[in-house]
Amino acid sequence: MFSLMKNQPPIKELRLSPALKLRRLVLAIGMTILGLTLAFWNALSILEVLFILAFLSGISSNWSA
Amino acid sequence: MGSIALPVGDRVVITNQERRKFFDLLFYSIGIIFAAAVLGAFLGLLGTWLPITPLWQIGKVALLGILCLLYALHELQIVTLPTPQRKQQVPEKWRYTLPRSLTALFFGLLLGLGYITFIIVGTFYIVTIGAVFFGTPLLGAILFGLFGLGRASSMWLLSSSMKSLEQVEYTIARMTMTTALVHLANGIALALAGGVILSKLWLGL
Repeated sequence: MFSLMKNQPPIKELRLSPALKLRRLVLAIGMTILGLTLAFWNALSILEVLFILAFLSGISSNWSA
Repeated sequence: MGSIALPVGDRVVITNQERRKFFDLLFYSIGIIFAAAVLGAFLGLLGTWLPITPLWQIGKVALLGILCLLYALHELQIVTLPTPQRKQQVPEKWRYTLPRSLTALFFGLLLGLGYITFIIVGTFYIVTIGAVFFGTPLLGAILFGLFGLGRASSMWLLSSSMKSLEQVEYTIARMTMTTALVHLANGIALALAGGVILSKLWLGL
């Protein structure tokens, strides 16, 4: 068990294919446009965005275990 | 960290272990939130030394927005950006040399400081830059306190599903398998955040 929990660096991820990279790029552009749209409705301020990112970053950091 | 949340043994022992687990997690959470808030306050203090010119007010928003988008691409594995970090973990020997609750507290303090150990997602750098650019010490402390809260609260949730050795191993294996999804989620969040932040440039800060 302890060998599983030992302090280990994150596993290197596999390289993505160009097609998958392109799909992810489209996803990123789509999300950016959605973000722009949300801002036009004044849905989120910069600080609120940072608060969400901070919480998400905290949760994600547990994946080092 | 999994060892903090590991109850083993028969029924009586499990009851005792549950109580110990609660206090270990409590000390861990206190340590992580406190240390993260201190780091955030320090970063916010650094931010107070930045210039307050109109050009910089626009420049910092543009810079943060662009960095969000770049790190979104990094998290989505489209580009590779620098990820400065110490690449160390919490000292394992503490588990065997210190009392459990003290170990949990010290682990929390080290992990709360963020830059002492591995940094898993690029989102952490954006939060750091955000704390410096937009923070006062109080705002920085709240921002990083939320980082600590996210890290600690998810550990409470995870530990509730780890009641035996097999469950600990299963949970760790599942976490390893879902690392790519975590990066994907962070990439999506950063792209969204980049859009929101950059839009403030023409909507008025």
